This record gives sequence, structure tokens and C-alpha cells, in this order.
Amino acid sequence: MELRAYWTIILRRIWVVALVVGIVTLYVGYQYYHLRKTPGALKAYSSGITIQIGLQPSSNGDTNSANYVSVSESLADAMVASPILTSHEFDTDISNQIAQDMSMIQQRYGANADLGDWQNASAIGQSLSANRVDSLVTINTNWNTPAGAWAIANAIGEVSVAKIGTYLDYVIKNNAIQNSTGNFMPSQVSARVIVAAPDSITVAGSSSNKINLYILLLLVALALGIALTFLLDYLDDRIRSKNDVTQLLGIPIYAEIPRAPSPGRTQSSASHK
Amino acid sequence: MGNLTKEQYALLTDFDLNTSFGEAFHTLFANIRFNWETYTIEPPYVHTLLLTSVSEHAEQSAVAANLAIVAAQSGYKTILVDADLRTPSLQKRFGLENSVGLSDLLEDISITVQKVSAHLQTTFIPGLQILTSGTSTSTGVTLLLSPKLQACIECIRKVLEQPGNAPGFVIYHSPPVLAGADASLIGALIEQVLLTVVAGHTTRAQAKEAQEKLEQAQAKLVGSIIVNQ
Repeated sequence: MELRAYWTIILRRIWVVALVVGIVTLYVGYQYYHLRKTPGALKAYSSGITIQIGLQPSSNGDTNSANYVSVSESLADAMVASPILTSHEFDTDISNQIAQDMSMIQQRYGANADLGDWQNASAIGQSLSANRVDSLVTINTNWNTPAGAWAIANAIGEVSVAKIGTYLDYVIKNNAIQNSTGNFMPSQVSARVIVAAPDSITVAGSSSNKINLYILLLLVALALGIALTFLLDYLDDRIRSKNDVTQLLGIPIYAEIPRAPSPGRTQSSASHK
Repeated sequence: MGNLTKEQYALLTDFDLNTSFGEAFHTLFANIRFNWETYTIEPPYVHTLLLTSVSEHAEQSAVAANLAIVAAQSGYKTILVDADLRTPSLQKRFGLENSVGLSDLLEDISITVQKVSAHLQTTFIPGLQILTSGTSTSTGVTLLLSPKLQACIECIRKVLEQPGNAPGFVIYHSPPVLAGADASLIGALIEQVLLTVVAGHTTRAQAKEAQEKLEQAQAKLVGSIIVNQ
């Protein structure tokens, strides 16, 4: 009986529940749409590649190896901290490298390998992050397909080996090493991939907890809507039922008159005692 | 049905008899009868009832009109009195003109059974007559405060106390209790008062206040009617 009364209260103001849930659903839908558009936001696959950045000394260069170590660390730091990874130039190079690696990727993941939005340079840029230990720079990729995550990591290694000097030239100019005679020595930045074979690039998948968060948000909205119906019902002083009248006035109900039907229309009979 | 107004449509005669709407009025009349039969054991069997509401709502006069129709169709000689001198509407439901009626009787120097009979209008329902609110321009509550009200109510009742002891029923329809003193003034002189509550419209505070006003006037509030809109 109590449950039926509660259900009646909810039904009476079902529009409140629908309104609250509807608004939250719109919000969740909007957020979900953006998540789907963002690589790696829903189902993320991460891959990582570690490269060592160093400075190749010239034949008449400084013999003090400490200087090279110091510069190498500076270069690694620049790779991590500067916007190289998110630069259009670097990301376009990655995208182009993936195109060149396509046969290798298809060998690994099949002819219809899903690489995601790999031609979108800015999407690639958004998916990259880096950290370093000494002169070792690990670049992580978060992508929405495993093949794409692997292809990007592999391409990063290849592009870094081939073109690292292009991106870090300005660092060399700023950190040119003076040899013991006081002359600035010409040097060349180089990079090598620490992991030797493409097989050693690991791809790990993880589900985004945002979906769970949105489901939870919808449940909270439902609970909030129901709570609001009870609050509104509590604040509503209007008489709703026969019980309200008998409890309030303490007099019998002689009849309950239903809404008048349309003239000439037959309604199903019902008792109104 | 022709060009009927919305007020005329709410009459029971516009619906099939077996609708839940029609059955509700038969139930209402049956419950009224159960109640008065416990009080009356001797003739004349003429009973008076005031139908009033807590606050203003459109269907109040329809409830009175339909109850009167059910009573008349059940074989009771019935008089329906439109005591709502503020916004008279009952006559429209029966397609009648608001000619001389209650307010004219209350303004008259003397009230007699013959005068009341002359003011009654017959309706298309056999056995049902209407005393309209009247044509007087005086303020309603002023007329109802007149000591003639009691005499008037008594004369209306006596119209039905004719030889043969056929049962009679006088139904008064008044303005809402909270609209003024009209309902309380009439209710104090009537055998039974029924209070109409509109579900989803009437508040608890209003209903309680209406009950207190009727009790203060010594009106015999015997029950209530719930109207679903």
C-alpha cells in the first residue's frame, strides 16, 4: 500500500523526473559526442617508445664527456618540455611516416587495420605525452585503436632517428659547447631508439572511467528527480484523494465525480462508492 | 445536439446512462438517501440539501444540476434553487431565462407558497422545477441576511408538501463557502450540507477553513463530494 502511494506521487509529477533526467541526458550526450570525437577518450590504447637523445661530437670537439652529457640532458629536456610533440611539423611527419609504414602495419594488424584518425596531425599531437630520465625520453601515445597506437609509437621512433636534429637545432645554437681553446664546436644532434625492434612496442588498452561516470550521473539525476517529486508533493497543499478529505475533515465522502466524458460517448462503468 | 454551450453539455442527459460519470451521481443520490432515511420516519418526506463548494470552480453548478436530474428521474419531486445570487448559472444549463426567482421572493413584502409556486420554472426533466436566482439587482448577501430567508426556505419546502405524501427533494446551490457568508447563511437553515472539493485544486487549508465557517454557522455538514477535473 505504501509503495503504491509512493508510485502515485512519482507518476503525478513524472514530468519533474523527465525534466531532470532529460537535461542531464542532454549534457551527457553532448559530452559523449565530444569523447567519441577525441582519440583515446573512450577506449584508450597506450603505447610508448623510448629514445635516447645525444650529441655527436665533431672530430675536433671537446674531449670533456661531461659537457656532452649535460647537453644531451638539455636536449632531452627540450624534447619533453618544448611544444615539439604538439607542433604541426612534427605531427605531420608522424602522419606521413605512418603512410610510409602502411605495409608493415598491415602485416602486423591485417589488411583492414583500424588506425583511427591517423591522418589528422592535431589529433596525433593531442595524443602524445613525454617524460625523460637523463637523456632518455619516453613518448607515450594514447589512441583509440591498438593499431594506431602502435603505428604512431613506431613512427615517432623512425622520425626521431631521422629528423631529431631538425627539431632541436635551436637548442644546439643556444647550448653550443666551447672547447678547451674557447672556440664553439660544431656538433650534430642524434637520437636512437632504445627499443630495437618494432615488436618491443607494447600496446595496452584501458577503458575510460568517464562512461561509468556518466552512467552514475544519469542515476543520480533519476534519484534527484524522484526526490524532487516527493519534495514538491510535500510542499503541495492541494487535496488529491478521498483519504486526504476524510483525514482532514473527518466527514464521509458521498461520491467521487469523474471528469465528464464527451457528450454521447460511452465510458466503461466504474464504481464510485 | 445543436449549438449548446459548454455549461449545457455537463448535464447527465447528454451522456449514456452507464457512464462512470452518470453512475457517480446515482451513487451520490443513494448515499444522500441513506443518510436522510435514518432521520425521517414520518411524512412529509421532503428533504432539503445545500450543495456548496470550498472555492470557485466551474463544475459546481453542474454537480447540483445533475443531482437534481437523478433525484427527479428517481421519482422524487425536486426543486433546484439557484441560491448563487453572485454569478447565477443554473438556468443556462437547462436552457432557461433568468426570470423572477429567489432574490425577487426575498425582496417581496410577504412570501407565500403560492408566490413560490408562481416563480418556479419547469424543465425538460419531468418532476424537476427550478427556482432561478432572480432578477433583483440588490447585493446577494444583503438579501440572504434578511429574516425572510427562513420563511422563503420553508415556503419552498411546503410547495412539495402536497397531498399524497410523495417524497420531495429541495436542492440549494450556493456560492463557495470562502466567497462570502452566503453558503453559511443558507446552510444554517437546511437539513444537510454537502461540501464539494475539487481534487488537485482545493487546498487543505481552504477545505479546513470552509468546514470551520460552516460549523461556526451551525450548518449541518454531513459529507463531501470529490470532483476530479
